Amino acid sequence: MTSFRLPTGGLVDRNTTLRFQFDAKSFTGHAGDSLASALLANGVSLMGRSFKYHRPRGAVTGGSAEPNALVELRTGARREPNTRATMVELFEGLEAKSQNRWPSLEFDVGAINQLASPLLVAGFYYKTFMWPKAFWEKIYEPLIRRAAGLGSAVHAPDPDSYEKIYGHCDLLVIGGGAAGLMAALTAGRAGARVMIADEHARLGGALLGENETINGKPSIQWVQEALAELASMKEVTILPRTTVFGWFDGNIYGALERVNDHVATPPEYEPRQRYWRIAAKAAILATGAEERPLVFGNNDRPGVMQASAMRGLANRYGVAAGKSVVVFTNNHSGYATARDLTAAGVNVAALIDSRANAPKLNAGKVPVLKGAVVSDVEGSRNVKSVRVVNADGGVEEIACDAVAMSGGFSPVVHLSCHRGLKPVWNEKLAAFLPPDTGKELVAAGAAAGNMTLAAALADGAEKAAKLLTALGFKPKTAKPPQADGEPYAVSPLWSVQSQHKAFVDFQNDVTAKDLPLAAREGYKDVELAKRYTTLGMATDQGKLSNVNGIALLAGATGKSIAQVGTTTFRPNYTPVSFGAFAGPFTGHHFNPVRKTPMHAWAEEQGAVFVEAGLWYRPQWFPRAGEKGWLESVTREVLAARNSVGVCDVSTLGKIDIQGPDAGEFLNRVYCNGWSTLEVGKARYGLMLREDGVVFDDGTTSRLGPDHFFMTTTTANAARVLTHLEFCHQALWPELDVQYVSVTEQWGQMAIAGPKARATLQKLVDGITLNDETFPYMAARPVQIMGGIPARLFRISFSGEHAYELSVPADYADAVIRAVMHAGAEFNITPYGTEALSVMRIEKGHVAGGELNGNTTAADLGLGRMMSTKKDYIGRMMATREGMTRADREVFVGIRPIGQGQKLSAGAHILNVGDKVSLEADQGYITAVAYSPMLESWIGLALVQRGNKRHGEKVRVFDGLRGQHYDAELCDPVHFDPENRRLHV
Amino acid sequence: MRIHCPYCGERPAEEFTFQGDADVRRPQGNEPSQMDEWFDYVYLRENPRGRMKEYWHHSGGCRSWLIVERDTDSHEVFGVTAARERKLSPQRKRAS
Amino acid sequence: MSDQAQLRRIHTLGKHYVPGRYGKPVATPGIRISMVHPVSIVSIITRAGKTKLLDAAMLSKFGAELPHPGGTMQGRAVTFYWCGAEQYFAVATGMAEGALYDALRQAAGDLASFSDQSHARMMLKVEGPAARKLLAKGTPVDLHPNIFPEDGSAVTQMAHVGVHLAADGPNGFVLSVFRGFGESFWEWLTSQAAEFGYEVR
Repeated sequence: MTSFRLPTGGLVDRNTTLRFQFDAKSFTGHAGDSLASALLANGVSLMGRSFKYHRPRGAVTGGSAEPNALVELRTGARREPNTRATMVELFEGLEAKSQNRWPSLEFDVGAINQLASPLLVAGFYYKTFMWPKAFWEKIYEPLIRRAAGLGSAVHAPDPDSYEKIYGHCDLLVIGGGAAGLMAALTAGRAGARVMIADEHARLGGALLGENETINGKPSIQWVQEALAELASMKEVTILPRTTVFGWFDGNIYGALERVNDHVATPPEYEPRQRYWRIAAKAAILATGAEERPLVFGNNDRPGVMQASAMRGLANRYGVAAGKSVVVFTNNHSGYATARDLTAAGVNVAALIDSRANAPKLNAGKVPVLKGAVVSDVEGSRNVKSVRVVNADGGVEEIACDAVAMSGGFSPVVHLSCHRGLKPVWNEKLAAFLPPDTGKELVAAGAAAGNMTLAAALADGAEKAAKLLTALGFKPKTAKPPQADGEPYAVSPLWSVQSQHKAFVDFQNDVTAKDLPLAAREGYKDVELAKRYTTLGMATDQGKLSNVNGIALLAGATGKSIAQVGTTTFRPNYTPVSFGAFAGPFTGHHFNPVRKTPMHAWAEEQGAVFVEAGLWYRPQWFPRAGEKGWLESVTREVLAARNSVGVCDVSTLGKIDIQGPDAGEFLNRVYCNGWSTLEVGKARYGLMLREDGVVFDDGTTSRLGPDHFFMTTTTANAARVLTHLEFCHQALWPELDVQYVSVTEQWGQMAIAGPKARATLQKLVDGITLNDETFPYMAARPVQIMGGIPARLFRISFSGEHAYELSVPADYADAVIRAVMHAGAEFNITPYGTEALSVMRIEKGHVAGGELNGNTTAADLGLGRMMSTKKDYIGRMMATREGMTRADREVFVGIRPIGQGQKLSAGAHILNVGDKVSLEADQGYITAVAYSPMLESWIGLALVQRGNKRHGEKVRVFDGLRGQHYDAELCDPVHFDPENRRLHV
Repeated sequence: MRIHCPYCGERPAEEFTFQGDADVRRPQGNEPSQMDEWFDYVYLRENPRGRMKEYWHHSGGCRSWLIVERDTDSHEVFGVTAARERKLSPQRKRAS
Repeated sequence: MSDQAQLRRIHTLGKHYVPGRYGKPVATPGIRISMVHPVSIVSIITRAGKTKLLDAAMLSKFGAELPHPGGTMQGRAVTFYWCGAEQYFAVATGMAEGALYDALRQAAGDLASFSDQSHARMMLKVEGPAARKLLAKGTPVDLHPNIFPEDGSAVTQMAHVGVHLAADGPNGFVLSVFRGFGESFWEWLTSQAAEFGYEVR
């Protein structure tokens, strides 16, 4: 294999040799190489197969716009499809594989598609695969997916870590080329906070690949001096390998820093990639300009490259693209390539300049053919020669093995259009320029249409100075560095008459014929033509192809390019991995976890935990020998009902409410009244939404004349606080009331059962608990265990004689252990949310299943709580016709008919004899439990007029589980309807 | 998007929770004749393309309810006030 | 308070908090983390129209007025942190259970509402040369010393958890989260600190 590495030159480290593999073949390259440059140095120009026709393709660019040289990088769990060989930095042991070929890159069966190409023109998906319909899913789609497409994703979990970080600066400079470096220097010297990001491993932009002179020195030396100066500035952050991929509202920029993509595996403790959200006061768009390909026959053959990429290959990497090169240009870029290649010792056979009246530029000794075009490349897998049509119409064939092409430059405007603005066509530059985006983001240098080095340097400094002045800095205006500048003088050439296929979009195999075809078939709008032809789709999003494509569409529709306009530019500029978006919040860390202060104790007790929102709550506490959850839960219920049980209820929302208007505030947010609640007492409260539907419930206690302690359900804790804040701040700011969440201050446990009082008595200091000192619904601060300040509430969700004990959270672990110790003689039993639920169903207390966002207070049998003496949230809307209709589904109990019959939550209820239909639906079961006290399954339900149908036989239809059975509606209070147990 | 919280300073949108039209006012009184007024308050919202006053809750910060005047199309923010100051005399302001 | 051993306050991290050196082995850890515990924290919310009277009462009893939005005021044995509109945290160490709450109520019981939050929050001190970079992985608040000065105080979010964050010296910060999130937040914080090398004190 011939080496294409030039004997000298380039910025690669020739003393460091790196071994790598491409398609299982071993090669070597140097530190500083890209995968593409290393492959080309080894004479490998075939790097992939095209999307549709499976044509052989090689690198056409030297950067992130690369449409062709997409490879799968790395192996195993780190394998990544669609990485650009032009952007991949070579590292020791790199393994890459070509894509979209089978069985091999050299011999690809799919290339037969070329023969079928008449079928594969624009819109082929829509035309070919329309009929018969059933064929689509089974035959066409799998076929297309196998034949077309890019790399394949990995299914193994990503072994690397990703990070998110916020950045802040006065000036963000996007792009580290000539204009960007000047902007950063100007800002840094003025003392501003600067961030400068560039997608390449080293800053310098186009200068890395050019052989220019700045202030009489080689341009690369100027870059190094500029970087050294920036690095010495405290307030300047230099971000290499960082792509600013999106511009968002509020002048926020998304950027992806590829921290460790350039090594085989990230060093320990370091992330693979870092996702930046940068809030900038102002930003400079110094993204440069992308060189456009020319559209001629077989312009996609490996060996045909952008002129700038080809001289960059020589200047930056010390690699020749071929042994003999033909340059085809319509602007000054081709001349620089001819000069630089000649200087590097590469033969340049001819320079074809399509401009008949091209300015006189230095092409060295290379013969220049003005007014001529390359119509076709000959050669099947590589370049053998070009066919040149001269100014006089004569045709000649020139032998060569590589072609450098330049169709002019397109400013990289993408970011400036991410917030909805459209770029502006400039006839003279034959390019779209960034729109005027005001003071937040200003384009400079080539991105702003300044196509010579001298102009770019001056523009970067000037635009930065202007922005900084507006921000209150006093930038010094120094004379910009001196550089040569040849006139750009582009003369558009959108396509050349050719014998072979001429490609507009390499990545999507869109040819020069496809756009006129789309126009003929009615897809004249640029957005429609894009979808119809697939122009500008996929990973490169038309970075190379869009302007040529738009020009061809303009020609076909008789419009100007400005009239056709561009498609919509959207983030991300280049693909961003899902890993980077997810950051560290994956797996166990997807959401934060909340644990109660009794969590460690519950773990020791062997609790099975259930997620309740972010909280982890003990669901039940299995014991050795128990055959399943039902056995454990039944034991827990019986213990609480027959002796004493203890349950961690710390997750209930707790809100401390104080102030002279605290009582009035409660009156307005709860549907029931609070004025009469005595200090030291608790009351059940029901909160409605403004639309009259029940929102939340809980007990609220009065600890002082101006001091209340509200509890909410676990599920709604945050929502209730937000609601209170809205009501107070937006509706009634005149109320002098203060409130704050104290959920986490208190570890709270329910102690329930006939022996609850005897258990607690051992812990409470200084009072004898009885019905006089601590009656039902008493709520008071107490001291326990010799000095712990606690709060005791005689309230009951279980229906037992029960208390809730609140202790400052740091003591909760000690207190629950003390409670267990005190209750040991009564065989005190911890119970979880399942037993809690069984007991509330036995007692017919409403909970989440009934507070379902549809039910009114009246539906739940709580209509009497709705005060008529005051305004409160939801009062008015609860009286609307539909909310008070007689046939609403209302709260009722249900029990099965027949020994051993289970009930199933979610099952629907029908009148006996009715057929199953939506119209016949009477309601559904909201909650079920096996009641150890009744030794039967019991349930709660919402049934039309259910409160008037106690004792009625109904049919239960459980379509999900395929069950039908009979049941009887009943009082929702299944157990102890007289509430005797509250007072035992 | 960034919102300048009058208490916390400029923060990104992810710290806030959107709550819609801030120009609606809760009716005074519970007379049956006011049902239409209540209905409008609870259910009817303007949804203009362009300038609008909206409630935003600084849920990831100081928990203030804010009234943000914003262009719903361009997302430009014209001004932010605390909802509580709509009726009350101004409170302590952030030192700028 | 009795001398019963089990009455000792247990912080939320329990056995997960183990002093030592972690992460990248470096000569000087970029991050030092210490638990502020046991701590007294009381939330203060001004009552309507009492701003000036409350300031005067705090000044006379604790030697400092309450801070402006985004600020911190150092009083005698107590620090006041702003944490919302007319809302503050009073923070002290070395005080008996409930003592700070009682002292504040005594000083200004009718000028503000006070709630004891001493057990509600896990408070950490994070310091070191990499402290700003570490916290920037969580908070959108700009912590540059020119923007967030040594008396800065903010309420924000980090890793989806609400955080009160205040400067504490030139390269130090105190931050507190609801204790229930403590373990989860700790896992995030230490994983993000690993690249700098960190010391748990």
